[in-house]
Amino acid sequence: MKNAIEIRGLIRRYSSFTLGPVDLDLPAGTVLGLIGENGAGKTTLLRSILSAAAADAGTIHVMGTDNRDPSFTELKNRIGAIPDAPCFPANLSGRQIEKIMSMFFRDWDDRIFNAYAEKFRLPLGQEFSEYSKGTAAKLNIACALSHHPDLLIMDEPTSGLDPVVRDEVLDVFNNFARDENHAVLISTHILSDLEKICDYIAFLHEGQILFCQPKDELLDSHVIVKWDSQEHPEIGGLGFVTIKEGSYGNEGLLLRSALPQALPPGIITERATIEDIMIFTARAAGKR
Amino acid sequence: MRGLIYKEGAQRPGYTFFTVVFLLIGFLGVCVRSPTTLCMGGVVSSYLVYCMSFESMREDQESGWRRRELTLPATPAELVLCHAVLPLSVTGILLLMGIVLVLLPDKGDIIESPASAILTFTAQTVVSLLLMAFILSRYTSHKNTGESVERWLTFILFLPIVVLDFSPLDSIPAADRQLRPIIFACGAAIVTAAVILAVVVRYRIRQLSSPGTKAGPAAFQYTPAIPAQPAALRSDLGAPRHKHSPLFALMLEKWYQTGRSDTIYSTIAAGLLLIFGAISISMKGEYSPALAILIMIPLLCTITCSVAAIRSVCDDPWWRFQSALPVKRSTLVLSVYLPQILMAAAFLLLLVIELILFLITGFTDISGFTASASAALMFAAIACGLFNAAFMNPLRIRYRSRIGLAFAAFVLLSIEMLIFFPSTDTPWSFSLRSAVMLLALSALAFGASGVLCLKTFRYPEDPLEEDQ
Repeated sequence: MKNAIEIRGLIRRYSSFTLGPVDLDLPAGTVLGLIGENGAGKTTLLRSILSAAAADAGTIHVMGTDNRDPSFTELKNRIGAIPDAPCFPANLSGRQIEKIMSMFFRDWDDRIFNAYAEKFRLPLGQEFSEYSKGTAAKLNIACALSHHPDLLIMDEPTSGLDPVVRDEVLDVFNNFARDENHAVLISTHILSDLEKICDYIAFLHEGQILFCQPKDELLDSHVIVKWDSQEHPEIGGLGFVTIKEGSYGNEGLLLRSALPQALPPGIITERATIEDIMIFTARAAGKR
Repeated sequence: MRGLIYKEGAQRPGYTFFTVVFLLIGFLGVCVRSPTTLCMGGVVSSYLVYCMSFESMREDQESGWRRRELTLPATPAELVLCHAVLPLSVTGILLLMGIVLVLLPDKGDIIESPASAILTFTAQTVVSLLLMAFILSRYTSHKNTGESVERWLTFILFLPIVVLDFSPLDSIPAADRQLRPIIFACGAAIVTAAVILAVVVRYRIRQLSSPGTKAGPAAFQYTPAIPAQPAALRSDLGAPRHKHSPLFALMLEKWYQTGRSDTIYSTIAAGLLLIFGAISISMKGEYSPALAILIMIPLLCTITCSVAAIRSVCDDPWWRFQSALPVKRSTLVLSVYLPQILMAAAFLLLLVIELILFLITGFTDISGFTASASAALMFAAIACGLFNAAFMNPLRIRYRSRIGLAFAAFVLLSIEMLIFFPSTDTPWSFSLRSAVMLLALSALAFGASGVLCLKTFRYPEDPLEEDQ
């Protein structure tokens, strides 16, 4: 299996918003981070993949199976889905939730769940309503990983977690992704997390994929340039993705290939982060 | 799909337990060939399973569980079926028991036998005690959800009528019997009003007096936006920026918010009943069914009113922010109470009108009346539930389904009129045929409305999420 997910020409129309057309591949054995502003269509895309939102056009193949096919229901046994909110009944205990989930998944493994419960220090005897936001998120993750999934589809899985626990959780995802048969699709606003675990980054803006590239290639190919527009007005003509003008100087995102070999003194260049690339690209798209 | 069925049971252990208990009471009724006992057990278990489905449905929607369901290895059809299993199976069991009872020989004799009366009375006592224990236990461990309070208030008001109706009335003096429905109606209204007041006051006081708890973070507690200043200085601030007074604005918000889902549409249901009652009076010149309906109206409206009040206090996230508004505490409190006071006054007036009507027309057949009242109340409760379901905002029901639910409520009310009040020449008495009909209809109505409500959800899709 070459791609864990293959999306071709996906369109999902709402009265006020249209997702797509989207073409996207998630190669097997990789982690793809989906980034985008609020309302860009990330959740809709993830729900479309899980066939929770029907497409108006296009196809989605998950692990080789069309998600409109009746056999896709069975395939969900191999998918670990983490919705954007924990979504468990409030008055059930962690243990009861585990029991319910175990009845759904053919390959549910109590030992894995208990191991995660121990690792995350989950109070399984307590009612879900008493869980803190972080604990609820950890239960969500434990449930998604306890049935031997091959594909993880996660919508903001680390939202609400403190940095220490987030790091712990990212380690779990990293370990999961080490298996070459496993793949992960993760949507998050915490872009530093993506830098730690992702192989690919896809940027969704107003329902369209603006780019989908290997993370290292993306980071290596962009550079942030800072300069004083009064002293060096000629720099603005280098072909920036977009320029942010400030009272203390200008700042722009530039393709490294467009960066001259020698720059005049006083001009600062910095490595672009995913956040920089996202912000500048979104601004550029907004201007078009 | 055992997972879903287990979930429903684990989520509502009280409902599950008592549904089984009442089903067993119904079964006992079949064993001793007492339609009264079967009917009582059947109606109550149907009602419980209906509430159970409805509460689960609402909570699943609110907790987001329904969205999670779509990620599970199950088709939407399987999911719907799993949710419908409980109401369908209870309905099926009850109908089966009804058929068995009808097919049993010598049923007519047993109904009137002393053994049957004793059994009925014992069963009623046990049922009442169990219910009281259940309601009390639920209330004390309650998480302040208006939805549950609504269900239990309806139940508290609904059940005594059933119990009263099925009690061996022959042993009660005629004069007392005539007064019982009125006493009950007034008593129920007073008790309900007291419950509303107690709950509202309790939570309102708690929210106002304990910063950082129910009312939200301490930062949101009330602090005057404009400190007390001399009048001359205040006048420099110019005209108020809000168009209405703060009290009016708050009341408007309250009415808009709670009114959309509860007050307005349940009042519409009550209004429809009033129209039916009026038609019944004018067409038949008889009073018993119409009076039954008319007496029910204040009860129904009081329930509705109480739900609106309780929800506005317990379930209203807006309340957290109200305490940050630049208005006095007294204005805030008044904004909650004033609509209730006005509604209560209106309902009291209705009750007085009904009492006058009752005295003018008078009526003699008390058992016919109480039977009609219980049936009418039961149907009204379903209709009310359907109306609520049709117009409840958080449920995200499709437009067509809303119309369907409202239509179903209307049809139920029509059935009520056609079946339960067909003849005024012969008073409606509690016979085997009527008992089984009542049981079958209630089971069908509760079962069907439960399933209907479950099916009206957006499977497999929700509307556009806030964050696409």
